[in-house]
Amino acid sequence: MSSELVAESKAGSPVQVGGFSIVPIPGLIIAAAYVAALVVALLSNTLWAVDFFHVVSGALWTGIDLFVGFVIGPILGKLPIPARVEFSKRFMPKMVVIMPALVVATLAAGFQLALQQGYLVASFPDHGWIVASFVVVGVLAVVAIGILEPANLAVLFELRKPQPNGELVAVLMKRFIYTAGVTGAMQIATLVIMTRLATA
Amino acid sequence: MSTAPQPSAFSPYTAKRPPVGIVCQVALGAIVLSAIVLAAQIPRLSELTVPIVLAGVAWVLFLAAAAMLVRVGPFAWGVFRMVAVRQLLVELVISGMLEFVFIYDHTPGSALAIFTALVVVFCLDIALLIAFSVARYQEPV
Repeated sequence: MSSELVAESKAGSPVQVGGFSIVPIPGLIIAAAYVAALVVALLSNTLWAVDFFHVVSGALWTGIDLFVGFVIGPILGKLPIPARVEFSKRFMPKMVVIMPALVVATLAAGFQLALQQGYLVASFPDHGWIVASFVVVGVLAVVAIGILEPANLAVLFELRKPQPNGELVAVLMKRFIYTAGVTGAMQIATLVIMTRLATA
Repeated sequence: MSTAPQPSAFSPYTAKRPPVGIVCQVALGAIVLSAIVLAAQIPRLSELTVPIVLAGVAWVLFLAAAAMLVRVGPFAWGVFRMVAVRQLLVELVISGMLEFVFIYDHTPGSALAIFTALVVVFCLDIALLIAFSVARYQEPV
């Protein structure tokens, strides 16, 4: 594999690298507004508002994870490297802002909802499912924060260089492929647990 | 005289680095495991030894990673600081939200103390992990 991503595309036009923002400011403003609304919902402690943030954020988190892992990922893997670079430098900065906002809203609202509904007490008949959801979230957190986010940011910083190291980018991007199965399994487990709890 | 190009004195891509990333990832695992064991018992906390030991393991691993980083050799410290500070801000918002929920929902004092210790090491550990992961491939300035 070439060590440089500044390669000619099939059409012969060079790929432009660098010159993009790793953290998009407009996205940060939207994420901040979302988190502010979450705080208001938590302070109001109304069932609908807390449930709204938990369900909407959790559904988006699960949906995005599965869609990216099993639809976007395989398509991206078959594209030529210059096309992957162009896609990644537009797509990944948005994920840097979207995913943490969704994750914090899901977890914070979920904890309050579980406490409010009495799901956290050991005497709750389906307490085992609640503990299972903690384990699933724990695995997802380690994969997302400990493995994927460092790789994501390292790739973005590499792509900003005038001559990015293609081998390094390829090695780091493989983490997304290796963990897609784990993430997918955990997200499907989340769907099973949450629908089980919602109908208990 | 040889006209062959001189090998570069230092390349961030091939430089040997201490296993800071792996140690931080194991610390993150200990943090998450501790939080799971703790959260599974709320509100009645019958078993605190395991979460406390795991929190202690996480702190030791984080400090070990930080100590390894100090002796890293040529390193892009400017990039490291820039990423670490920004990442720390992000983690403070996330952890602050979770801590807010714990306090707001009257989480018992002993559990809250362990959660707080976990939240602090979580913020520091993630900032270190991500800043190291980015800076290790940058040219030292």
